[in-house]
Amino acid sequence: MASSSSSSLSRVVVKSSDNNLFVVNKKVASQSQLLKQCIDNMEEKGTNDVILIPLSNVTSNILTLVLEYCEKHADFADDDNNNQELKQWDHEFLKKFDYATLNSLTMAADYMVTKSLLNLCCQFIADSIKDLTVQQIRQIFDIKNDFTPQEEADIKNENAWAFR
Amino acid sequence: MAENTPYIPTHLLIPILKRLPSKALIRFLTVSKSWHSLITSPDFISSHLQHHKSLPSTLLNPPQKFLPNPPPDFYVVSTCYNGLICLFNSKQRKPLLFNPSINKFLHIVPPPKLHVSSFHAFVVLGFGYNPLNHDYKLVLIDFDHMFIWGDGIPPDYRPYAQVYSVNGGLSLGWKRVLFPDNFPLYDLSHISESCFVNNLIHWIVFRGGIDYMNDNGPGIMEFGASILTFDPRDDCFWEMQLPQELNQAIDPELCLATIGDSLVVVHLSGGEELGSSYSAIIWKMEDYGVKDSWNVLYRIKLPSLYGMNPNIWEKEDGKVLITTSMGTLIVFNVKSGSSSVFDGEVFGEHGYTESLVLLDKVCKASWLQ
Repeated sequence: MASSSSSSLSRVVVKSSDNNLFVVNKKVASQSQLLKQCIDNMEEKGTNDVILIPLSNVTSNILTLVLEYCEKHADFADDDNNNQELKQWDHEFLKKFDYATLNSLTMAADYMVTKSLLNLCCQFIADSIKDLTVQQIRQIFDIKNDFTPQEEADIKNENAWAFR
Repeated sequence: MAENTPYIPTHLLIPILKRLPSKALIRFLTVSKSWHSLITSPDFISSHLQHHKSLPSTLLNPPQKFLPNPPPDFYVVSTCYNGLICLFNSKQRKPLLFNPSINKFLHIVPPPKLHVSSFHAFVVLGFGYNPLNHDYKLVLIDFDHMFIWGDGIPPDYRPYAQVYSVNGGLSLGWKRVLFPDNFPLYDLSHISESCFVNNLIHWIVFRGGIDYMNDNGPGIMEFGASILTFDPRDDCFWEMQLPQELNQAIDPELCLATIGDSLVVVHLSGGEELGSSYSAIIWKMEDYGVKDSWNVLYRIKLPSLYGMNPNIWEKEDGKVLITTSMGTLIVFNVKSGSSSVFDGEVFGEHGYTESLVLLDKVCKASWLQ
């Protein structure tokens, strides 16, 4: 991470898709590999200006949440992912959201390359959908059933044990 | 939140769905055609397997619990690998691969002809995986077990091996594989299941018989217990040494098993030295393939004589769990040296990983045809 250049940024400005600006300190921003890469590149170029990173895919609402997560995790070392307190915090953090928010957060974590948040969201969504009905799954993921009733019945009959 | 609810793109659906248990995914086959083809795709099956292999394995309930109609006359012939169990119907000589977590079978067409056609022909199966091309392989060895020690085995009655590749299927069929030239394979264990560990299939075997290669006429070779291995990557058999102390052990006394990724041998005996009626001594091969690394791991007193299943778990609390072929579970306390039979519903057939393996091979929804 240390750059050969003398320049070192302490903060960056991140712009959401709806044009709101967030001032983020470097340690927090580095939780996102996307932001970290931008910072590293700028430091290599030796710039001393505060840099602006536009995130065209992330709204302010969601960006606020990603940054809240990054801020919390920046306080812990990389190998602290099994820390019980942090795990508890992660769970409480995600518990508040509906599926639409969770979906957006997952996509933002993917786009911003925040791997631990992405894994966390995927596990949380998986845990919460595993007992849902097929109908509920279609609603949550906005999926149109393109099976004919006969086709659907065939698959169900073949795997009747899984539907009990 | 956003006005238009955003929906997860497919590339993010995979890391979510791969974390689901197989049963949920079987239900979600009916969500839509695109979910169906995603869940049944070989790539997804592989991601799902890799994820679930990274989780601790669980005790498997008896296959009967998964099945409305368990196949009659089939018995388990191999340790579970990638969520698959190999079963064999000894009457019809039919092998079967079974994935209990998706309740699917793959019937394997048996070899057209067994080498030993006599009434006494005995068949032993092994099951393993070739990680190089993600293929599952079955090895079928048949031999005549009426030739008892001292009779010697005429070459025509010696064990005969054939291998079947699941990917190759019927077009490749069964192919003969040869035992090492100078390996006097005499008999295979009728008791111990085959064990797949460290990319090799293992069987308990017995060497001996008549040495027809002897210049001074046929001579009797020394009897001894040993381990036969088969490598599904190159279809080669090899021999591996048992601990020297077990060389003279006889069939019902020995059973192969695994602890984690290590090969172990369970030696059942009268246990006089332990002062109890029966005992199981568990030997572990500390460095795989190194003969001198066999060590006695545990000496366990048994309340009764049980056949062992190849399932042994070391728990963090100093307890060792061993499943028996009777379906009971023995709990051995390492510190106190005491053992007891767990009284409960735990059947513990095998160390078991959830998987969708075979789903791409046996799923046959009508609309796909």
